Amino acid sequence: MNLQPILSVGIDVGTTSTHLTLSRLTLSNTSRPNEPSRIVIEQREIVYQSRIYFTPLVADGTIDAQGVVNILKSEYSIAGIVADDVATGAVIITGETALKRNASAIVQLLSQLAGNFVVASAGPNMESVLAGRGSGAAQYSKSRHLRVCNVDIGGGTTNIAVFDHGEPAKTECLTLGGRFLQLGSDWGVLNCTESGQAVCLSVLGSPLKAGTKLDVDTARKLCRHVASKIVMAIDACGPFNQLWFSGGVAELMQLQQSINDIEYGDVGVLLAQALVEQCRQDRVEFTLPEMPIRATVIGVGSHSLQLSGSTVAVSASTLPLLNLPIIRPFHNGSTNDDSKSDSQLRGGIAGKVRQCLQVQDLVWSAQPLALLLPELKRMGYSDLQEWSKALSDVFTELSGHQPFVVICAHDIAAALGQMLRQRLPGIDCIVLDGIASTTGDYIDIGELLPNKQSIPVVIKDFVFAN
Amino acid sequence: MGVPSEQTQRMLRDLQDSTPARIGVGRTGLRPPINAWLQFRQDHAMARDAVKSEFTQSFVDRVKRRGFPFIQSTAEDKSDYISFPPKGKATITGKLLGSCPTGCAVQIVISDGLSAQAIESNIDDVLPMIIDGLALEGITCGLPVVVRYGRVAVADQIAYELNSSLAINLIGERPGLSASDSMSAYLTYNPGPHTISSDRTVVSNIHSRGTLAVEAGAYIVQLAKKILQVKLSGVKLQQIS
Repeated sequence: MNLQPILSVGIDVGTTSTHLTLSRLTLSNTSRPNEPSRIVIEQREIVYQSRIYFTPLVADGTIDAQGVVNILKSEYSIAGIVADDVATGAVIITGETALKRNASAIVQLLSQLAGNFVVASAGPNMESVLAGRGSGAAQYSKSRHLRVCNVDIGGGTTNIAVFDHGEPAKTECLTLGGRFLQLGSDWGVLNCTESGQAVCLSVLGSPLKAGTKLDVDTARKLCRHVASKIVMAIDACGPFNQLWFSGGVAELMQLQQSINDIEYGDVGVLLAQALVEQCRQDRVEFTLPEMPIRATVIGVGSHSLQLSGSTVAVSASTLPLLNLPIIRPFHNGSTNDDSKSDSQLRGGIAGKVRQCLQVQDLVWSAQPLALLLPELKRMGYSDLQEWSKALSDVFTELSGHQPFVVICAHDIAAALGQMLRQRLPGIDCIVLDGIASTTGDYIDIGELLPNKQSIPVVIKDFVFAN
Repeated sequence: MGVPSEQTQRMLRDLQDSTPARIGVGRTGLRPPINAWLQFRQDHAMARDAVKSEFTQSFVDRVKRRGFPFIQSTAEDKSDYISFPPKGKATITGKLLGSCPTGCAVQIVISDGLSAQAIESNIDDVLPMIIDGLALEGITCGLPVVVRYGRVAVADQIAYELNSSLAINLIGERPGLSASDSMSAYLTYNPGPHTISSDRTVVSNIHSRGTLAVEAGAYIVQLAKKILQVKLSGVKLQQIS
């Protein structure tokens, strides 16, 4: 079996900074001998990190597409690789940069240039989770059996994720970061974000006009307010055993030597100091990972990918499948209803699917969808035949677009896949299992890896409209 | 001894959840606590019962209703079977030639092996998956033959005499302390008197807490397809994978 490591790229185009990492993902078969293989990503090793660039912007406020592409090309050249060497990865545009008019085009362009299965990912919840994985908080929570809260503070946003047993339990986001207020070297206000203005209104009684000269005490007052808002949001995500900070501002929280207060042309340094002070006052201990600013990009490059086990034959032309919406017709809200039997869950499937389509504004005949199955209590032959009948009936009744994608909560992909192929001859059916984290609204499905056993999958929050 | 902290309790629970092995059961003096001891006695008893188990009458009736031939190896009874393994490897196939199709690509044999219970618990989920799947792949399959007191090798003889390219023996595994209803599937390409152990590919630990029977069935179909394509099974197949 070919279990060659694969190269994965992470590109983070943030509000303030843009950077890139390359990771080597080592694959391993965790099943016992004489059992169907279960390929997982065993190790993630950062093999290259780019330097940190300021996100290139054009005068009218949009992202400088050529600038970003140039960064990508020059970094690949320094790293000594070409796009074909990269098997997978993700590009993420975060914070306010995501709101720029051309964000979508940039992400698509980058993902095409960067490698074979490089997906365009996005979403504030996803960012929080990826930052927490990239910082090491998620793994720490798993290996030490603790609840760990990771707070990633960048230029534009603060992303909080609490991990339990290595999986996200709660996420929260704030549109406040180190760059809520930008200052010139003379302490004149260059820009204040919308959320920043709300803070100014609270603290100073009025918004800040561009050009106003600030004194250090006022700036500190504003930062203290933001720090306390962040801490309140953190408390709302409790309880947890450990607090970690990551992101650009976290880098500044560990500075030993003194630094110019407005070193980066913003209040990031002051905010970092305010957070340290707030934690000291509240007697809250916190941990900083080795490379705080890299947390999100490491998460994006190394942790967004999952491997699905699937032995269903899929014609080569079907994959990759990008930006498939995920529907959850059997899930009440966000969790399973444990009291329902499998047949109750299955009952009225057409109605349940229709409702999902309506709520998510989807037309199944126009595009393929991924359907998430709930946890099942019984998985015998006749039980699965009931499910495969219900699924194939609803696919036919609602004129579903090929391929028919189903995500299982248990290791039954091969069995369900065989049954669906029997009931839907001529229809490409892709059944996936072994995906641990299924939180998110969209899924990207890559081509079979060289080992011919696993399919790389990325689940993400949202996609940009085209 | 103090009360373990919340974190330690979580760690222990996580560790225990990660394996069916008996860890962290505690002790009383030099011995395990009574619950752990009783659980062990029960699991051991279940394993012994599984080894001694015979096909139930209702199972035999269902086999006959399906029209599957039901034969016995040359072992005379359970004790004979357990004491003399070679007896379980051979059978009288004369009657089969009249009632079974010959020349099929696959011949399925169902044997009690060392746990008839394992077959009875899983066969209704694994067998139809294999039959459906082989049909879907256009692979011909003979009539499944059920063997009482059958060992793995008995399928070689049956498939050889029915002129099949691939023998699949669905057989009860020797029970352990964590599972008494676990079965295996042995796939042997070009089976016959020349077949040795290394010629076989096995899928093991098929039970409700291991590889689910339905999933194993679908997996076996793909494995069979591959074996028939490359015309190899066992170690030789592993070497080219």
